[in-house]
Amino acid sequence: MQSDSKYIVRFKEGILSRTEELHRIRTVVEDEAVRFGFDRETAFRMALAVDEACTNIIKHSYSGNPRKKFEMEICTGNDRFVVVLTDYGRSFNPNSLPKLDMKRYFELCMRGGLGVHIIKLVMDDVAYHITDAHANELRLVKYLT
Amino acid sequence: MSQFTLSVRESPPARVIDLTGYLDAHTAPQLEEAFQSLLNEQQFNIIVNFRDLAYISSAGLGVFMAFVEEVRSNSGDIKLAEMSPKVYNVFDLLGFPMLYEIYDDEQKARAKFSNEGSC
Repeated sequence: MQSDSKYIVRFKEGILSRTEELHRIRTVVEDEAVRFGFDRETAFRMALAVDEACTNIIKHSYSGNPRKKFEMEICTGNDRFVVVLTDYGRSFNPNSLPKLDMKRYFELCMRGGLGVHIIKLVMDDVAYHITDAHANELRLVKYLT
Repeated sequence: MSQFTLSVRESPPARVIDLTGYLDAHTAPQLEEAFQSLLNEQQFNIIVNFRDLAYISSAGLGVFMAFVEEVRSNSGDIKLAEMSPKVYNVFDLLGFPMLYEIYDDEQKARAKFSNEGSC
């Protein structure tokens, strides 16, 4: 992405793997999304989706280790708003989870998996890959149109 | 800054949990503790008032999922009241209105408990 000149990096930071950081992360994403042109309601949902992805990194990829760090980069280009999350913990591809059937979920009083479901409902594209540096990179894309 | 607070009050025939602030993976354990305390006290008619809650993520939603089965198996319920449109939209996004009664007014939730006749 950094080599793609169409994109402007609006935010880039290393973030401690702590749930205390979630509030600040949401504020950044929501503010940047509004500044880019999304309405408040959509920006709120995008911040929710990023919260869910970061929570998964903190809780699952890093198993709650507060000394670990992950990176968040927000890039925009043309009509798209892209959030890239990079961590160096346990790998997990959210696209490997089957789509949740909420009726069945409630019938069986199931637990877990809601965060990934939210991410997929809110964002237009969700792409995961392992980088050459063995990092987990999650790209969350939302189109302005 | 205090991101989240909750308090529990009596409102017969139910107990009401008032939520304030932001309910996410950082703060959800506080709500979990509050539910566990109510269940330990055999209180199964529970209303959650969302009037001052600004945000909820799946970590918060998961708390309701964690306790609803036990509450209902004891002839009680978790009824939700006075959500802002933003918070309601998160519940609605996942279809939670299928599983939970959501009221625009806490009084209506209380009245429903009274009509159900379970304490």
